[in-house]
Amino acid sequence: MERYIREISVEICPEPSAAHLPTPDLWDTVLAQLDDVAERLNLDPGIHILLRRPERELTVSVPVIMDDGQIQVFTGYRVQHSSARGPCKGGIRYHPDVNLREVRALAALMTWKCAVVGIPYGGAKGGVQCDPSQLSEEELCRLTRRFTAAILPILGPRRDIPAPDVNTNAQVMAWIADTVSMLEGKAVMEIVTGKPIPLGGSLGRKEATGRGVAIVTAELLKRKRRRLADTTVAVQGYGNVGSAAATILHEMGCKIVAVSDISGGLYNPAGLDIPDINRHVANHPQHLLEGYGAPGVDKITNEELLTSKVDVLIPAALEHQIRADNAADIQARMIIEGANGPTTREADEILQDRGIIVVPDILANAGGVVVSYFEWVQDLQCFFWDEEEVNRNLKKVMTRAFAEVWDFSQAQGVPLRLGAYMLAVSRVADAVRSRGIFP
Amino acid sequence: MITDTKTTLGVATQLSLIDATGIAQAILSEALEFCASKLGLEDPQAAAEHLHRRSSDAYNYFQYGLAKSVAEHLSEVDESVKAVFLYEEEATPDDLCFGQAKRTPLIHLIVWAEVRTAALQSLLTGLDRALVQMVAEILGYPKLLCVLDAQVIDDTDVENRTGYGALLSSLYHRPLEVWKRS
Repeated sequence: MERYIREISVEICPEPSAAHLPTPDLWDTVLAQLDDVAERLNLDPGIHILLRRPERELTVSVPVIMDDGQIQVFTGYRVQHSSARGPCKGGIRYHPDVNLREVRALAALMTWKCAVVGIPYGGAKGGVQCDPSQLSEEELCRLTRRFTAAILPILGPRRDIPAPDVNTNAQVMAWIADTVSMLEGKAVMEIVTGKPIPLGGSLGRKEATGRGVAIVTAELLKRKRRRLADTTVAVQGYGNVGSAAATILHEMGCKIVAVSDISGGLYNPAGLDIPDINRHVANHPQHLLEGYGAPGVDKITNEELLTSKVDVLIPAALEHQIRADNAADIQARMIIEGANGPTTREADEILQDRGIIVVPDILANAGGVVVSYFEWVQDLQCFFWDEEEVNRNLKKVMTRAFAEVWDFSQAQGVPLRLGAYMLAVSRVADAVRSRGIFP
Repeated sequence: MITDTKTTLGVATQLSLIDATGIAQAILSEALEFCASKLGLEDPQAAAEHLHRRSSDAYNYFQYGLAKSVAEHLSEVDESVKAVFLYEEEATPDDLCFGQAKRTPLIHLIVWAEVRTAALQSLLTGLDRALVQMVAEILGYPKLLCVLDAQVIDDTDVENRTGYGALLSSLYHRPLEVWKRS
């Protein structure tokens, strides 16, 4: 079996990992994680092998007439890892380093992310190897439209629904929706999510990821029999995710004692005035905490925030903030991963040994993909919810997802991160088993 | 906002003698030219007018033009600079498009140097100070405090994937390489 798996890996992964950088091979990492989970779940070997291979991979050449009249040909990819649980879902990124192995890995991670929150999607990802900053608006539009036409045979509201990712945005999604609508001769706005509101985007999307972080924090506190009002929280990162999480937790009654962004941190053991801080950030030309002052508020560094004496720490900045060199100093007993990958593997082991509960990113920051799902649902039914309804349904989905991961992890006696992956893989495997293998 | 926790002190260099204001002027002019060319405008002055009117397209191209030009000038002045990257500071970069657009540029740069030196740090600080005044004037924001958020990393950071060095091979926060020594 092991040899068979190795042979398959060689067969389907011929492309070397990108670039000049010492990038750990992401697809290998995803496979190693799947193999570990499969062994723990005693997964059927056939299903295991099936999940180790993406369902479909499309590589396309994308010719574009540049502003100077020359033709430039870009390479684009769309990978569908699994459609066992429903249409595939995943973003499209524009970046010079995009390559097939990376897109394949990201597609598999989307399969697990959708499964863990129980939304009826499989996983996909796409990308075009380009530097969008070097392209004019017109070139970007032509690139997007031609790429869309090239991958259209495998797209569709019931097949595969793209979304924004690194260096793509609502405008790019609008071009995709328009291109498909023009080619098909009818409105197909449900082909993508992350659209502008007037084109069928969902209300509540901006705060969705941070709101999801706040919801799982409250659910964890409930499991630990902690009162929200007695809980102190530190939030690292005050962008879309961090500021929304801090604001909603503050509204729920938690005491937010520390926040930070690239300009530094603020600390008040008696609790920060989050609405006042939000007013400051909204008026700051660069939306930073810089220059904020109030009685009782001390300035701290980002590093000090991570190790401050709080009950809950929410890393909502960049990757790799909690590392082997600072994990031992973290005083929080609960960590909610608002950012993608804020904890290194070594740090995760240290935190685990110290009995610190970590709610993993795959669950904690899934609010965004859940509201993307709501956008698709609203587009399909041509009936749009008000923001209250979006938030109410988000709460329902995130609360249920947290409960399922918590119960599963408790029953298996594993940390939440491993439990979340095990639950996700078992759900996809169940779907494969129930559907059977065609024909 | 230019941070560096492990600067190597005492490295003899002539960088301190460099005219940061002169370099900043050149950077600004190149960034405006880049912006104008991408927007199909006739001259840099037209780009400056678009920026003054808060055009988000103009802002994006201006930001990239500044980053590229800063990188090129840094590499000319300091031979230890190996590459410069532009990145976005957000927990989940796919959520960036749902946020509130910034009204002035804040350029997050990762400067990969062979070693961190006090001279490089001081050059970055000097460039930031000079650029702040000039950019504030163009945009009409007299209270602007910072333009360059530059993180200096070295080979060890990249090899060990520590600090901002980890971002270079990041899955979700992959920065854009704006300049690399060939």
